[in-house]
Amino acid sequence: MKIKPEEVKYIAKLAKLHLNDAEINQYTREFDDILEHFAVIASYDVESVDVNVLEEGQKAPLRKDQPVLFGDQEKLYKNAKDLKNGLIQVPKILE
Amino acid sequence: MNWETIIGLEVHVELDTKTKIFCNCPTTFGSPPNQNTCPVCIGLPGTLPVLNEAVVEMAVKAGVALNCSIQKTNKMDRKNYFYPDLPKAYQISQYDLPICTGGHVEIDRGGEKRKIRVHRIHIEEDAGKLLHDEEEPISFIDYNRVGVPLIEIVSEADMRSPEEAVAYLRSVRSILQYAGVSDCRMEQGSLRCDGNISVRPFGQDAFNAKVELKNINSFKELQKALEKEEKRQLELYSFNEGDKVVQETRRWDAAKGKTISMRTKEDAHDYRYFPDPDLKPIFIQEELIHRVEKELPELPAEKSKRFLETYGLSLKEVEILVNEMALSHFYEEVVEAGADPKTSANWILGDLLRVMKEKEMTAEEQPLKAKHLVSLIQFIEKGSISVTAGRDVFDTMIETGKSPDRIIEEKGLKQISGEYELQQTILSVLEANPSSVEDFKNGKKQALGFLMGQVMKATKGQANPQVAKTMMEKKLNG
Ligand SMILES: [Zn+2]
Repeated sequence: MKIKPEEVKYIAKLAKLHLNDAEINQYTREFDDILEHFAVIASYDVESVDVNVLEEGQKAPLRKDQPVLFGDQEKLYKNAKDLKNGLIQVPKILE
Repeated sequence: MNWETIIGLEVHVELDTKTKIFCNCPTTFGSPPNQNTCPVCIGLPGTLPVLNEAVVEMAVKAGVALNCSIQKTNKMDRKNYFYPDLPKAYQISQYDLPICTGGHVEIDRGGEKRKIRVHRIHIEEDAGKLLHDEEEPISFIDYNRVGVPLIEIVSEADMRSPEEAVAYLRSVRSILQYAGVSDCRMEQGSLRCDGNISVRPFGQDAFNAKVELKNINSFKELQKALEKEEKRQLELYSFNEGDKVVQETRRWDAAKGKTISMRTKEDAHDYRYFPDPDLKPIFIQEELIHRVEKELPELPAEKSKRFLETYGLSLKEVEILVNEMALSHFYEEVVEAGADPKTSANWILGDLLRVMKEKEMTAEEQPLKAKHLVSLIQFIEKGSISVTAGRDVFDTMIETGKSPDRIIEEKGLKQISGEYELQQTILSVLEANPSSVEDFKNGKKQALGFLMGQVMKATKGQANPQVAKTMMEKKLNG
């Protein structure tokens, strides 16, 4: 096991999740499986690959700077619990 | 013991694009809440971000203007943190491959030039705005600002005093304004700044614990916040309580005038960055860099040089004019319309700045029209109105927006400069005050002042004093 339950607990805390012991055990196992899979990818030697060589297919597509309003805010915020004058109302947030 | 202060700044600047960084929503400031939002920027499942080409171009522009190297390959990463101003629970930013690295900015410290190094510039998206209810325990979220493109300019810890930090920020601000990257309006939040500060004994190489200051909204607050934090740290060290200076984030409370520890941010520094799988790497073409270099407008340093050479102004005058881009444009408009460069600078640096300060207006907001100031300057030059009356006209122009000729007309400020018009008044004054005339002839030169006063009184202050004085002297000596 590469991952320890303490690490899962810490990551859950960062993600503001409350996990019980059974869940922590389950995620510890699953995290470990995922990391094993990544270990396979990491085993490939990519030292000689030059990331600065531009290939057409690798380029990020870019968008023109032309504004369009989405327009349907009612649909967009259909799932918001409370709206007030267009603002989303939530319980008090501490700074 | 002698202590040295070490300061670095992180400056966030909203880019002046029409749309957001990854979607077509407009970036208009002050729109109705949540109007400028769409499924992409509020991070609904199934949507994909597409990078705005203007963001890449402007970030390159900022890099070139701040003397950075442009990283031809750079990429976007996810910075994970959970806070309600961030609908996706991560901010798309750049981690280990930023778009620009290693630049510098020159600042002036008491006539001496100092180089402050820029560590890096990266592009990222802005977060939303939270509003807190005054009475009820509720908050409100406006996501309009989510996804507005930002660049973050990270300096090296090269500044040695709060003054240097302010000078650096001023310099960065005006360079970016001139480059056309951002309007950099601190009062609207399009330029924001965090400061890192620590102190150490002179000669010590290692850095002591540094404190990050957040929530700084103006040059004045930056100066105050840094001074306050510098003092707090120095006091702790001098009372042998140096262990109380810890690496932490403190919030500047402008109303209370002090920094307050933000304990809620303690865990927040573990952002678990990873490359954004929705966005491919960005490759910057050589041609783009060349085009940006070629098209870059005149920057503050060149403008200062040109102003010094062309207009016969002092270094201090040029500095004030050039630091505020809108002010320098206004000045050039006035001078190009034919007003005397020195007189124009006097009006702008004197009366205009005074009015702006009184009314708390920025150079962009000040209402004076260049052509009106030009005609006011010319009225005074020709002697049509006195300098004192000119001041009055100036203030009225600001208040009403009326043209100077109309104000002069309405207020009856026109100066009497014609000898013909003044002749009768002067003769009457001399006739009515024979004893003063006698005094003058007996060598009491101050009698002239009294007689001049009578002329000004008789003309309700409208006589041109130079002309009237010369005429009077001629009469008395003749
Ligand atoms: Zn959007």
